[in-house]
Amino acid sequence: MKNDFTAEDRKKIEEGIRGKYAKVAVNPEGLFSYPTGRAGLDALKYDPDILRSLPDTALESFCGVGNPFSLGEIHEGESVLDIGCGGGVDSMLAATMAGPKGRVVGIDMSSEMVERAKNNLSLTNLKNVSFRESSAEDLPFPDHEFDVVISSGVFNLVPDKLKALGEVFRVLKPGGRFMMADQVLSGYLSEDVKARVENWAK
Amino acid sequence: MGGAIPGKDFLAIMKQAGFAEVEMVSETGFNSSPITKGVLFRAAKQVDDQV
Repeated sequence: MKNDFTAEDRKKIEEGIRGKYAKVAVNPEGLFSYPTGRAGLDALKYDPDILRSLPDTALESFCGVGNPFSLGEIHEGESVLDIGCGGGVDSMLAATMAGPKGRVVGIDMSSEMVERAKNNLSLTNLKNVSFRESSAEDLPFPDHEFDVVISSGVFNLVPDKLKALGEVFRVLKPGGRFMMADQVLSGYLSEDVKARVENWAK
Repeated sequence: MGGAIPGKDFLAIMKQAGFAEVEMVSETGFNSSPITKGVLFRAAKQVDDQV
């Protein structure tokens, strides 16, 4: 698919995403076709020992589409960026793995999700995590800032994927790793831009 | 699902962005619709890449 969206298309896409995730921030249950919350984490085989470090209320907000940590470990002391952090579950798990000498930043374009992540964080004793509102296409970080970038279920929602992936590449340190889960197209979808935009966040 | 693209296309964009060792590792079983599927991707920025 070509990246030929008008400003109006982009506005509709952003409104669709923000509208959906304002609801997800309250409770993701029933809003996705796959398990969310603790059931989703268990189905994706997240490490139960690390999950125990977070309160159940925080885990309820999980709505990831895969387990990025199954692709490789987060090492003690590493800096991690979580793009599209949602309720912050993956960010907080990464912070637990990175330990007090590590640092994790979660970003999300939905102010409601960032607020939910901050509320979840307040239920923990973690001091090495922060959350902020930001677009994946314009990361507010200097070059070579992170050892690892993680993400789950986000890049399919990004209109300009090359720009966003270029930003991931820019903020990663040389030798840095990118570990992500996402939705890819496996069947027919119309090339019609209008139809795509209408169904963007569905 | 309007923004989803085939996995091979996403891998190509990762390479275009500069990544090495790009790989679609496996499916997650978490599919958002009948025409999309959850997958895991991995990529690396090479040590000698200063961009």
